[in-house]
Amino acid sequence: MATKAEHITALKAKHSSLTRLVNGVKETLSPSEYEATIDGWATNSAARDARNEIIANGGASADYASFRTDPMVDGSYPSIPDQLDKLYHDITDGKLDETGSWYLAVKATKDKFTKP
Amino acid sequence: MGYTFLSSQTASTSTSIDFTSGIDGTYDEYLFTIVNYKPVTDPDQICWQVDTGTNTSYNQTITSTSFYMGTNDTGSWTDFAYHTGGDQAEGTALQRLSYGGEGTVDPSLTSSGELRLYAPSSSTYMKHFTSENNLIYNSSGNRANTTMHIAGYVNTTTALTRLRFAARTGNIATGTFTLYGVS
Repeated sequence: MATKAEHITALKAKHSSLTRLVNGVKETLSPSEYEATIDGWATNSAARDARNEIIANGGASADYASFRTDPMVDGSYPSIPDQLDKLYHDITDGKLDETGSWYLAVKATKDKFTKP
Repeated sequence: MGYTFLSSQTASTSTSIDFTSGIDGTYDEYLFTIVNYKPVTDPDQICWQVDTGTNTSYNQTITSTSFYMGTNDTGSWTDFAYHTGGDQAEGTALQRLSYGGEGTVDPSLTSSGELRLYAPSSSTYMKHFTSENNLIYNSSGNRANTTMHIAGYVNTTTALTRLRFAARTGNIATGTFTLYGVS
């Protein structure tokens, strides 16, 4: 996971200058615009690295609730139909306790994405 | 309803695509189409922001709401959900248009869509916008499709005169951005 400073170094090595299109005309960014753009890109990249790290390995995050509930995140809560199915089987098996499949599935998500 | 072509720009490793003319009081509605957007950096979203007068900060205050639906080519994944990553609550950041952006993993995959801006020149009302975007991307070897719908408003009663498209991070590799007036 690269830091923001590391991203800045890498981005500057990759882009000695930056250009934009304004009404079809190519313009080179001024030095201050260049620095601001690189800084913004590095900030976003560092934030994405941090997010990917938590998605991959879990951990504490102020965004723990969104990690737990985002269906695109690996390790988030099972879908409502899947949770209901787990409850059905737990009731059938007499496992409405901490050994049940529903409890364990929800606990796995809560354990992976924790409150800071 | 008629569409009047105003201008078009094609990105070529561009930091941003700026429309600084053509957005005025001539039309009540302006349509931007984005065709085959592809970021240099995978998987960065196509985003936009607006500004007033001749300002170049592109940081107007936006409140927006967002949902997406998707499936992959094997049918093993489907989803329909609100997307907090696409919304803003009085934010000044770039406003997303797409769920993501296919970069270098698969050269054939891009995203396309449209953004509509309503009565940008009004000096009385805040400015509404609606957008939809379709994205094809590579997810762990599977091809996935996600369509994203975002709507909201720019919280200003000052006339908007310019709009910028940019990738969330990195340059825009390719993509054609076209502005129409809708009458």
